[in-house]
Amino acid sequence: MRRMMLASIRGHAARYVAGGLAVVLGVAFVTTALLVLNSTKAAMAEAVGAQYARADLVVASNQNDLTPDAVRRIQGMEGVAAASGVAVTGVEVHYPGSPGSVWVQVSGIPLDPDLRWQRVKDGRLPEKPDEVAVAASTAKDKNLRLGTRLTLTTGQSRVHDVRVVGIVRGGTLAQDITLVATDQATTAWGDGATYLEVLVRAADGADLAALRTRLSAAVGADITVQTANERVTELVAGLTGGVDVLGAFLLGFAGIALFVATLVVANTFTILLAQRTRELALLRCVGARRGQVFGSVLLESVVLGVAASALGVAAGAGLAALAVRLLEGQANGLMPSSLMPSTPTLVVPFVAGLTATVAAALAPARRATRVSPLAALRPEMAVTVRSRAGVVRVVLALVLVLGGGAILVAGTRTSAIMVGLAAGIGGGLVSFLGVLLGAPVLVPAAVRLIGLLSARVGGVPGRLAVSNAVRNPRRTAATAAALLVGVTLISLMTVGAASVQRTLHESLDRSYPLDLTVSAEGGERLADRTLAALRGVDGLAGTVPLRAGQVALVDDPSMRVQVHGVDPAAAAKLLRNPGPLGGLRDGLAIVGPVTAAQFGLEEGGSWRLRTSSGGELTVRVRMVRDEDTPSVIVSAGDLARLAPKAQIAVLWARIGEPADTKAVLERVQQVVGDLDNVSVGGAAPMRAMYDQILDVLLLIATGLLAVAVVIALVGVGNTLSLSVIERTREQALLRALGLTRGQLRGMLAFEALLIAAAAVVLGLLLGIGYGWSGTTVLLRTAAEGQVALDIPVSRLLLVAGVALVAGLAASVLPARRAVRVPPAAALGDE
Amino acid sequence: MHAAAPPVNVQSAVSAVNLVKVYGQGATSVRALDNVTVSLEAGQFTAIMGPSGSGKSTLMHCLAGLDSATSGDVLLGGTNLTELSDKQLTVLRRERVGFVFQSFNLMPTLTARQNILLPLDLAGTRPDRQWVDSLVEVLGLADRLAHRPAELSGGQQQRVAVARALVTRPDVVFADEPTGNLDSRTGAEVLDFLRRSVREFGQTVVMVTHDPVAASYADRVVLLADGRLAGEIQQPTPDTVLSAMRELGA
Repeated sequence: MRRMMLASIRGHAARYVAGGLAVVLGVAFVTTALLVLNSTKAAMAEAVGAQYARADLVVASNQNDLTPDAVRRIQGMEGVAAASGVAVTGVEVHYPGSPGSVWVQVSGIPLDPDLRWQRVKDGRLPEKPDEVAVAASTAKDKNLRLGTRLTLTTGQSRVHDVRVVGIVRGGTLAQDITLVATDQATTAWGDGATYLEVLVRAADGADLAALRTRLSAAVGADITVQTANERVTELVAGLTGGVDVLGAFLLGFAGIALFVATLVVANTFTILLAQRTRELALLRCVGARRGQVFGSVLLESVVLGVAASALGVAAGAGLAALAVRLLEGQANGLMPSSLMPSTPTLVVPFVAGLTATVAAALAPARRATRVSPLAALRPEMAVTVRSRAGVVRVVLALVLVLGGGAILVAGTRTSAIMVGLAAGIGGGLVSFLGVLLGAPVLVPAAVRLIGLLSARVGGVPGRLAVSNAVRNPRRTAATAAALLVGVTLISLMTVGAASVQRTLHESLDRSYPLDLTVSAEGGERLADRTLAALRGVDGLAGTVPLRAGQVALVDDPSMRVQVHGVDPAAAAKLLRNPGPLGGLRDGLAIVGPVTAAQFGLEEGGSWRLRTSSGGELTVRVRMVRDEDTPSVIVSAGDLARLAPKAQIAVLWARIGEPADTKAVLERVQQVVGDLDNVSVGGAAPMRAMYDQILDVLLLIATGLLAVAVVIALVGVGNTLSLSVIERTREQALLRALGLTRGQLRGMLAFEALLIAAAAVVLGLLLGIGYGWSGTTVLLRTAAEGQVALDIPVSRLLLVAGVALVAGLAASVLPARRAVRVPPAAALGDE
Repeated sequence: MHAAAPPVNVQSAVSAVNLVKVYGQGATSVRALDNVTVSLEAGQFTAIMGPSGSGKSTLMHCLAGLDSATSGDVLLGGTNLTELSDKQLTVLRRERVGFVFQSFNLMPTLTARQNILLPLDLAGTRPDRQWVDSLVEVLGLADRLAHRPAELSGGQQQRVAVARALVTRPDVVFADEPTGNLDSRTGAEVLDFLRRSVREFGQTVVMVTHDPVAASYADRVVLLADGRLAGEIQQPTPDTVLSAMRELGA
């Protein structure tokens, strides 16, 4: 039996390529994810651990209040060989050639040379207060060399000029430490001479446990004493929380890829076994037991699984090595500089791939055992194989879809976010499972519908393609299901991101009525040239100027206030929501919270201001909460009466639709960039930031899901090429009857297109549904029930287009094979 | 299409001139057709006979433009097939040649009517309704048109195949062992119909067979052995065919 099976694998090796490729891709993905994560964690542990390499015990205080006195007391204790405080403080540093300054952490060098852990790559460690060493990654980023001068500003606003005397080797600096200075300098730049932790080295032969107890008693209650190992473990756990989330995220996508691979493999086995019905029946005829047939099929899957998983692990290791090389030096040296494989990172993907392959073969293998020995005697059994979806399957699918859907909808109605999330994820999974289960009914129906719409385009080859595509509903369904998973998830992400974006935009619009405000600071005016340039910026739907003037109070003429005036009608056109600004009219003053507090104003109260002619103008006060609007705003007419010489100090603008907020913002920045008394505000900068975050997240998710789609397309090509083998006779007949090679290619392309289109249509519909309900569940509480759903039509069309074109591409190889068969060769009756 | 004027009888529907077909290369090569020159007349029912491996199927495939010859010429109604590209050959098969196979070879996903009209659909031409109706009538398929092949008997399937071969009014209908998978009664019906199509519609039919009874329906039998022409019989009967075959050692 085993010889049989091996011969079978050799004989059909080419037919396993696609299924095997799917497993290789899935396993490679899992391996890459695990290896990169493991290497990152290992690199972090190494970087964190370096500091404690020379210490036995660590005394740490979260309050940063270990005094030099305390250190001296520890030094004096019995069993202590050395003890030094580690000072950490923050300073603002200005790097030459970079704009502005950034806040960085400085770590002090232990006074005791035995406890110093920092190692320099170039130069030396600082010895004087005006010397620093910099982390290697920072030196590279900011182009710092030995001798470069830096300006530091301490928390007490004192400025120090320091000189770079060393570059510290990566991996010997913890977390976010950028600079290294002497103990004296570091403590002097901080709030006082205190330490975050004290490194303790025990004397030779000292009892560590006893020393630890004595230390604990000596330092007090709020201060912890840990062994160096405990300290490292605790710090790494704190640091890798983010890595674990990233890991779950990556592995989740890898799991999806592997699941899709399983679908493809299951389909491969189903088709291959259908084609080998006669062969299997013959085995049964000559005396093979059912168990032997089952075992031989399963053994085939084990061989395939082992080979594909091994290749996948190797490919994944290669990819991970590449990823590590690309990531090296990123994130302040926290990224690994070399691949650190561990046994689980290689074994887990291998076992996962093997398990997935064998699991995928179980059902087809069981079906293979049901082949009647008589089938061997009937000719052309395989060609007329037809499968129909059972009633049980349809009912179960319906129950799952409706039940899951109901749970999902319930999830969108609840205001308890955790309950909603659980219901959303659970309901989504259950209903999607139902869709996959019902695919043998759903997919052919979709294919027929799409075929009906497109039959005119396809002509006879098109009609034939439709009937071929629905000929074996289960096979078509399984092929489409693999693609369906990817398309559904990608459109879910796309719709979700668009809906989150729209909800954010609308929520921003409610809190910030203005897109853009460009203001001259300190009572200055906006130059005419700047104004003209701003008004000409491409992408702005409209602008309105605000004049500003100093106005005296009637009650106390010595008090003056800056008042802005704007034309209420013109301003109303720019506002995203009317709000208090929309109600501006003569006799009304809109007052910000700071000004209101300063002058003791209340909502609805009157405020008497002195006009330029010496008269008096009483305005009613309306309060706004928004800090972004100028402190006092009146109508342009009122301002003319109060301060006729007021100059334009502010320009409000609205960004046109459809807007590329980021691009418009960049153009505005270009205009005001070199003017140091002008600032840009409004909702646009925030909106651009959110948009960018969402775009990046969407891009990453789509990229990761693309692996699943590629695997699914391998499956489409696979199904098609196996169908080609199965239908060689039919295709030869059509060629004999006058189907040109081009038409045959067209027929296969159309079939691939139909399968892809069915997956795309169903996937888009599901993705929109899931995307909307997911967004609702996530944002319902945060957006106070005002979730705005959106369908990003052009992006979804792009997803559909890519999937369809890829489906077409999947038909190229099978079609090449099909047209090569000479018509006469396949028609013989031998 | 650039067709050279045929150097042979203008009455011939299809002819082979010094036709050679070699399969494989070197030591393992097989000379399936060895310098065959034969002319099959228009409006005649010709049977090609020979023992297994005599090259009769290969000859038919080459004459029908299904397979290319190693050397020599095939002339079909004034067109030299050896000069045509794959696409031109395909179009020629579609428009000027009909096929009937031993194993029926119908498209399983199409109904009987769709199968009959398939060559016209592929060419994108409209069927001649009267012609189709009379074919369906004569072949007794009127009440089976909406059925798929799996729902038809062997005889019915072969009659659908015959209708499909005739629907384009081709220059030549090639039939490859058309009765091989049928019982003798239904086989006789199909053969009778092929002969009627020659008599009544002036159709040219070329049939490959190894059954002397089937061959006796033809006007002329061409005998083939070891890839060479081995004689012919005009107005054959089962007995004359049988004795001729016996002489060939089959």
